[in-house]
Amino acid sequence: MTGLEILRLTVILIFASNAVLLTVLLTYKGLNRRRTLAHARRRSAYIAVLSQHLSASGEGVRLGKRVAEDEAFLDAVIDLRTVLVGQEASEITDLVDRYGISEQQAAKLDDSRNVGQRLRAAVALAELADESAAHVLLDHLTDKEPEIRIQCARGLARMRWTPAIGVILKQLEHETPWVRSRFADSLITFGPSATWPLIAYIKSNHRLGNRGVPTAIRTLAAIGDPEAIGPTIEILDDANDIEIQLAAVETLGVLGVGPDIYPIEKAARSEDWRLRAKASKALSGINDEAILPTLAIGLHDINWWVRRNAAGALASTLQGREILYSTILGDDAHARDAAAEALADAGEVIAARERIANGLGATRDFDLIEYVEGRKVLTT
Amino acid sequence: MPRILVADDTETIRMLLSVALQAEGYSVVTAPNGSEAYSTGIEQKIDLAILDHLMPGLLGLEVLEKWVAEGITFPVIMLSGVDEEATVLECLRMGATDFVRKPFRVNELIARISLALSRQHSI
Amino acid sequence: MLIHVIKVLGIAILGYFVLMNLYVTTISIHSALALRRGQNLQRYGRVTEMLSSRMAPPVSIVIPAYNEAVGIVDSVRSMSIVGYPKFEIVIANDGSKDETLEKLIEAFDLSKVKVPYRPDIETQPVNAIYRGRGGVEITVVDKENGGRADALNAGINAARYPYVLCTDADVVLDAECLIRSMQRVVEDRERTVAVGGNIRPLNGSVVRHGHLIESHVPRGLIARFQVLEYLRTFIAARPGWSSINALPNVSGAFGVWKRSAVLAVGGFTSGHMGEDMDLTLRLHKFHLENEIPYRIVYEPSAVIWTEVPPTRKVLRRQRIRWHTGLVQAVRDFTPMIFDRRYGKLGMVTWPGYVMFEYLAPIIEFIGYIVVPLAVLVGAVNFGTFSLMVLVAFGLGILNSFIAIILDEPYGYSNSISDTSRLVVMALIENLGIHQMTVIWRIRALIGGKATKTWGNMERRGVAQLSES
Repeated sequence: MTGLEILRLTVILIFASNAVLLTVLLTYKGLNRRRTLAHARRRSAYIAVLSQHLSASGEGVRLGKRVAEDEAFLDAVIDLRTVLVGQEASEITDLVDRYGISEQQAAKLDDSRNVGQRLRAAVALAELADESAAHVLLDHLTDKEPEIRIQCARGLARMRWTPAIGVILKQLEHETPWVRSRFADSLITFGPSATWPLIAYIKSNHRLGNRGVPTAIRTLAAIGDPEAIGPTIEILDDANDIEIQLAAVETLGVLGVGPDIYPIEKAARSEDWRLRAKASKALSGINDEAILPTLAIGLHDINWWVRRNAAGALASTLQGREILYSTILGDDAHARDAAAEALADAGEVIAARERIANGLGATRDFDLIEYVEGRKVLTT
Repeated sequence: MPRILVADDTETIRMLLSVALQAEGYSVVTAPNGSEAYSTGIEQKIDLAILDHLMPGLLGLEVLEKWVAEGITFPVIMLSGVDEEATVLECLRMGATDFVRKPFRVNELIARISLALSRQHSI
Repeated sequence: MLIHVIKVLGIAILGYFVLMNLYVTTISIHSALALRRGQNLQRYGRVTEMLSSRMAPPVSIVIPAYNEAVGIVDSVRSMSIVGYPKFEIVIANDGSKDETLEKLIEAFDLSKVKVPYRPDIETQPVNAIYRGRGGVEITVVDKENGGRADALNAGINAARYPYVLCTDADVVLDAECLIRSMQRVVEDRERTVAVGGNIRPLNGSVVRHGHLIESHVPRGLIARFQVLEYLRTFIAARPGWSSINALPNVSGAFGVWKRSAVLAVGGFTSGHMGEDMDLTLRLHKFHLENEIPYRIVYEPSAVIWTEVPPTRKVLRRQRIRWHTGLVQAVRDFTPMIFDRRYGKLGMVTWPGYVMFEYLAPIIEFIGYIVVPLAVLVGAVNFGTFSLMVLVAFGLGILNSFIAIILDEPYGYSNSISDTSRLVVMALIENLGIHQMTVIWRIRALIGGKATKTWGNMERRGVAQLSES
């Protein structure tokens, strides 16, 4: 074939491909649109029917047996399950049972070859939170697909299936950071019933360089159970791994530092600036004079984050604020800035301006505003 | 027949509440976003509004603010997925009659609605 | 003899275009594969649970603002309800001559505070810092004018959180954009230093109070042309590059950056016309040279909408500016080409970029002169010439069609008319519009005054956009 013929052929080929692509595009689009609209219509219809069932409870719902196979029905059920709570949510779950949806999705999760389908099934089971599916979800906590593992943990947490807590914990250290943080979210959903299993896990693993432990400690903070305070203080005292110390101090900052302030105070004087910063933050809101010297030292720390947190902690108590006001007049520029920022965040700058405007400004109000404005403030 | 405005960006909630409230004998009008909620509240005769807190466009709180500025007299129940106390307080301070968290119980919401309406009539 | 030279040149140029289009097709296929992997998760997983995650790292949204009084308040308001557990908004007022600052102070009840402003990156002088007291933490850094890069740097200096989302005052954020970008960060916190987002032109769509209600492909040709362009890069190129950790540009309109990494390389380069590409390449270079494991990724589902120049005049200014930035980048980063030290970026993507993005307008321009000349002097037979043009033309259309198809699953052009408009544009863009941009880019290469200023977008405010 001559060059010209090849060229002609190429042109034809290219434009033929274009035509094919165009046809594919438009056909796919048309079909897809129709399918999506039909799906949306059915879904709305199902929601209407299910809503009627809920509002006039006791009245039977008349739906064919085939609905269980309709994705639109699944969508409708999931959507309703998401906005409702309590008795009504259980009614939806009962409905789900009646049509065997859980079994169907569980089967898909187990058997389907298609990862997308299995994931869809896992999500559906997680959203439905139907206890009858607990065992399937438990099995798939160790599925090879990370997103499926995440959804299983999520589903088990939504149904408060406590036997799953141990399994999730055991896996924490082997997971990637993304999965680990999502597992942590699931543990948080369990609430206080996860507190003691977490503590047991932390206590038996914290000396082994286990990567799941800091996450577990932070999960305690998110759950917010004050029972965790004591054990966390013990761990802080006992630990020599900086990541664990950081997590423990953060957690105490959220939960409260408990009656014994010493471990946190010690952390506030650590060599690691992150630990000093987090410990200073944890000391916020404590009305104990004993911590003031430590925080005052923190105001002059070489690290700005420590200074900021120490200032913030001081701003949270009346006596602390006295220290901040006097720091404004001091020599250390960094400390002055930190003090001014903390006072501003605490609303003192605005309050001082108001007092001045009303003729009630005290000397320290003027000092503060002058520092903030960088110039002398005139009395009006 | 009292007319209730249901303003929420989630279609499921609009449908669910429409059906449930109609079953209770109310007439329902819906709005999918803040701007439409606001205009409906002003233009039509509404006896009670259920307002979602976070909607695209005008926020629920902003709609409430604007309604109050226009001098509306119907009770407004805020619906919100946000759990923070500060949010609840702010809504109530702005003039909301009641605050219901999402996810909610339909029957509870219905009870609160009839309470709000009966209080209105006894004024 | 001369005729022979012209003939060879003519054929070489036409050959270059065939090669370029094949290169684009290869990247498109690569992107298609990368997209498929991500899409399964998108459709079936529900990322919104992360919204209530206590494990999400806090983010500072940094917005440079210059004379944005028209829409800044609406913009900040709509950004303040972006779906994300913990974030703050930092606005850098770059010496605006209008009431940008005043409007912000009034709307958000800001007051001047004295906070430790650590100039980790040097910028033009900062006059004052303002903080708000409301639900969302808002900080305004009021500074002397210094340009977009300078303002961003000031904002980054004042940012309190370990990740910064750098964006613009006039963009409309999709509710999930931050969550979806941060998901890529959390996946691999140690290595991820930047995440780029998907930018879609807002023109022709329905926007109310800073939120997108309905998306449409604009009727106007200039805007429509850009829609197609953006599809070709954001859907059919970036996913591929991202998958080999060779993304050359995390767009300025939407980029999530690890603050410490940005500081380590000195922030954005002030006065640079392509400061986003420059920072991206510098981050690549820094980590590769110092053998620090890292990755810069692109997330197609992290979407934001922005108004693109609807008129020829404004588009011209923008393209000259962009190309000037590209020229600067090429000059600065030429050493990376074919240097093994720079991994796939140096060996594959950057050379490709230089060869087909940077050189293309030059070769094309020469082509406009040489090829007709070649035909005129009979060096190339008209029949052959037209066939070769058709090949290049046809391949260009092919690549556009691929991009349109790859975009389908995202559901933004819902109606048949939207897609038809894009198809028509794919067919006609080479009848003049594309050629226009070539002339502008040559203009940029020549340099001079036009390349030194930013110009205004003639903001109409996001709230006033209507079908155009």
